[in-house]
Amino acid sequence: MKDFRPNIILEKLRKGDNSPIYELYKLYRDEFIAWSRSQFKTSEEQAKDAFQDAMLDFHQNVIHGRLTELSSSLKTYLFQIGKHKVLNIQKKDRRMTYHDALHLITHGEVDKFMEEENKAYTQEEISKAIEQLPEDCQKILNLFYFKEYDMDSIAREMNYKNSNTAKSKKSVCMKNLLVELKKLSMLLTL
Amino acid sequence: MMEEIGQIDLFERYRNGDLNDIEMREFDARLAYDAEFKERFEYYQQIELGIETHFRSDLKSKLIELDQTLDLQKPKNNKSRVFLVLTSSIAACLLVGFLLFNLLSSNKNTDLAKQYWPEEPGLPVKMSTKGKYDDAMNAYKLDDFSKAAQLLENIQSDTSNYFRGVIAYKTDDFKEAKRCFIQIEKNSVYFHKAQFRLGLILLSEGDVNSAKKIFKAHVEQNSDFSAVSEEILKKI
Repeated sequence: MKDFRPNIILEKLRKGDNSPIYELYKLYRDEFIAWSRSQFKTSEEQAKDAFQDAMLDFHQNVIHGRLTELSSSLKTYLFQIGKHKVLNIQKKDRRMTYHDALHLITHGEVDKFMEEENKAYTQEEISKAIEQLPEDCQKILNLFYFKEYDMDSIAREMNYKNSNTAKSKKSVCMKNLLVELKKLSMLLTL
Repeated sequence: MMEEIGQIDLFERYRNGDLNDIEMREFDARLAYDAEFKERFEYYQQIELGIETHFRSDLKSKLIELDQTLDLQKPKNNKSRVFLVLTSSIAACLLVGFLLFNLLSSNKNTDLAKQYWPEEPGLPVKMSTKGKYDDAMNAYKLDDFSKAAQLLENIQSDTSNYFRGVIAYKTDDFKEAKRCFIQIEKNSVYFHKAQFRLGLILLSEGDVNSAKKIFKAHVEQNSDFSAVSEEILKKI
């Protein structure tokens, strides 16, 4: 039987163990879908999307130290984040529906929309570039930017001599990433 | 390329907080007056954000994969779930209905059997002469059914079988009652009595079809029990 005590879950996440994210998702997903469908009239896909984002925010809040203890139950906390995600998704969907009818909107709005589209393209290129990097580089970037480890922690995790080695390695990885982006014709000048 | 790498080093040092105070002031000042430098730094920050987004999406992809696994474990679609619930509900209703029907029918038939069960007064016991059934009949009339049955056991006759059947019914031993009544042959004076009682026991046990056959036979044969059998047949 899985241990769903909040303090155990928070501790695991802080240590870089993501397994509670999957376990909690399995535990509450269906209930959240039913709840958001009845409360906010969402589609099943919208509800899933919202709850996935809620799990990610929960994860980020823990590892960034913004959430160190819970004043409510874990479920209540997750459902509250999920609720805001649902409302945001619904707003976004309404906006996208509006943009779909391009002949109804002004030139400025078209520019803004196209800019957003371009940004999404950039993200795709960045993701492709990251995937071209060696595994250790991907891990360092993950630890630094996603899990927000400091250089001492990265050195420990990666078995480097010290934090200076970790810094150098990270810097090399960033340069390699730029090279990959160059290859993808993404980088204009830097 | 070398210039770009050099700037990456500078951005990295700034990001890691490794610049001294003078370097930091110079960096901030350059951001203010050098538009190209500012643009490159903003691009660097955009890449940093892109890296974070990439790993966030990676975790989200794993949740989406998990979703697909969970969805596969669920019933195929709502229709099949609705169908399952509907058929289960109907089956449950039918079962409850069947049980209720059986319970009510059973109670009704049992009551009917009791209602039409003829009271058997027993054979007359004469004071002047001693008959072979006297002791059994005296016990029977005193409701000492155990003794009566025991005394009748020693006598092999239709009379004995008939009364033993009656006693078995009174003591709720329907199986024994049926066994006794069935042994009584057609040519016996107790045959119709025994058959009628056998019909009532079968009715009481819920074997309505067998009971009906017996009552119909009474009607067809115009026995002493034909009128009452007809009456019962109308009620079952």
